[in-house]
Amino acid sequence: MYVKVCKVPELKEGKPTMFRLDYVDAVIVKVGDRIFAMDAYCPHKGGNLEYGDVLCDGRCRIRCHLHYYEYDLSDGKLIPNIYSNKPGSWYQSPDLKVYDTKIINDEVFVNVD
Amino acid sequence: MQDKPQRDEPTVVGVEILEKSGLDVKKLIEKLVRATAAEFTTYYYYTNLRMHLSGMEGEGFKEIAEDARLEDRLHFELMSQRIYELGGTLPKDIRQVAELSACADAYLPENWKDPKEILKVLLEAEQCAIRTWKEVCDMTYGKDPRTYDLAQRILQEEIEHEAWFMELLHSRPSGHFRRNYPGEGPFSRKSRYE
Repeated sequence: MYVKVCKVPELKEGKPTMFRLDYVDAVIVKVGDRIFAMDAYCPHKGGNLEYGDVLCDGRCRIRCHLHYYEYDLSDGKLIPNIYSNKPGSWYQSPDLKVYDTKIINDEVFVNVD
Repeated sequence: MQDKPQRDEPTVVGVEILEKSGLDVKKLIEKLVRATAAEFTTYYYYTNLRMHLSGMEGEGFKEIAEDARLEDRLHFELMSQRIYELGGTLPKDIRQVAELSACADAYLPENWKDPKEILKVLLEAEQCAIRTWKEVCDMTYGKDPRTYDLAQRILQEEIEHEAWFMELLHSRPSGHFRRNYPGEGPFSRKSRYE
């Protein structure tokens, strides 16, 4: 089910913005003419991704401010990080949940299913 | 007159008002458990780090590490109560505490004989705590005054701890850092008679 979130001009370029959507907290990111939506909390230890940094150098990703874990914005895949070789399950992280988006008449819709 | 509906759980007005103000209480509890777990594990790891601040140079850092260690225990105790008030609980198994912790284990570094290496671990732990408690403050600001008040008290001390370690590691002036007595917790101590 797609829900309307905001208008495209309300989003700042590369600045994660949190929205509460149908009982889901999601972060929306605008990069150029693309809009990404994902869970608002890092799957590693729950860091608020609204405080994260968006980095684009061929591959766009969001970096959590708590432990600098990075996830691909398009599919949510965890990108191997500085902790990759550390032993212990504390350092493991699942991938980030991402949501489909579409833009209709300059309005952003996110599929929260 | 209709009977009141029977409920399994009593209404907790202190939680109900938070939900009405738009706070995701479940998410808040999750975050508080992680943040509180980090305080507890930090207290444990700091004990080991402090023991290893030895020698002519390390001895001078021991007192400051002790203040941070004891105050982190106060943070754990201060916020634990709030978790239960909100309807949450601490993990049943202590192993889960380390697993859930919002911050990485503050392990003793291999080259611990260099006190600066220990200070780096201490600094990193404080910086993680600052980010975590700031998130709690932002999440509760204007919605949950009680949690906000407790979190901001903890945050104030974590910021002081960071300043202490920054001064020692990088000679960045931090102002006066002496406590009146070890682990005073000027913001987080529940009672001055403890």
